[in-house]
Amino acid sequence: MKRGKATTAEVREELDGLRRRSADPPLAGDTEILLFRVVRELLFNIVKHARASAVGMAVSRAGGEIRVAVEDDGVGFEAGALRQGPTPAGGIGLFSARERLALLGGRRPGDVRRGAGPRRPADSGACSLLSELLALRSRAGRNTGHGRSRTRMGATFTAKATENVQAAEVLFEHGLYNASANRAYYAALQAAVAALTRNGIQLDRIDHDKVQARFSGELTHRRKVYPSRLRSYLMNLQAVRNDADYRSKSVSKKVAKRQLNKAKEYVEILRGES
Amino acid sequence: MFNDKQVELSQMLFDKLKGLFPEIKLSGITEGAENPDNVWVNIVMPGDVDREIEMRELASDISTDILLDYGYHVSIISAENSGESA
Repeated sequence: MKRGKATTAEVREELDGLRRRSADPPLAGDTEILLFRVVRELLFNIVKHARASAVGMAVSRAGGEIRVAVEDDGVGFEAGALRQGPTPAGGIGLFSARERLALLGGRRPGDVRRGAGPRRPADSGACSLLSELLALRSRAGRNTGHGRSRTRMGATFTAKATENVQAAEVLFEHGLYNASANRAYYAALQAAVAALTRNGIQLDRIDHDKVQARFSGELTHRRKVYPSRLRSYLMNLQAVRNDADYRSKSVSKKVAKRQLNKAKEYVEILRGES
Repeated sequence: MFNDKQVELSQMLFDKLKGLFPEIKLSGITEGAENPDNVWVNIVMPGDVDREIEMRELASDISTDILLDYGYHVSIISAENSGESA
């Protein structure tokens, strides 16, 4: 618990530090902004009303939930005395904060209570002002615009990957091995795009090299989201696809079968994460 | 066309494959058809299809290492000479 004077910069730094240290996917931008504003609002109310000499704040993240605990040693105040709406300075007001948190699936803060003087919240049943616990379900920003967009893109590319695996299978059954190898590669590429999106890795565009590098480097090596044996699947599938599309020599049945099985395995494993 | 590092990495890729699959031959290095920044190491593939599959597995591992360590996309492709194989 950090105690003492908390400036806006320090609040931001605490949240940034939490983000850097966390192995969880990053919060959606607007979730992060709201969290910052709510905490800032709490601190503002302490400064204005609590006559506190010390403020403590603890931020933790576990199990898809973010918890922010703000404590002070002040006198407490009536909840009705708090600003309810937006402030001239651009604050969102405690009422708005509660409503916005509720929209994101957060629990409403408990009511503040008027105390009779400086007290340590842990010692007292009637806790002092603003021992507010904000529980904000992060879920990788699923309730926000950014989260919904990522979810849609992930689902779209997963569906395309599945479609291309089926296409590769049909083509193989008809003896069209070059075309099958082509679809097998694209099935894997689209599955990788979906996986990257679901894991919060934004792609400006679908660049084959970047997709391969980000998937292998981030998702199999650094974060270990997927088994390490998948790290070179895309490269392997692409090399055979290049032969199929750009060389006069045809892909053999055995090689095409191998590629089809690789693509199916790859798509299946990546789909299992959604 | 390619810088010294790309040439060096291409040769390294071929040399590593040659060490385990002595039957292969290097035909040359060319730009990728869709991305000229990509390097294609043109190889006369093993005649035996099981050997070819095995070699491709190794090649993709090495190519992935190169991509992650150096940022260059260097991969193998069948040499374009009437379907010749080693």
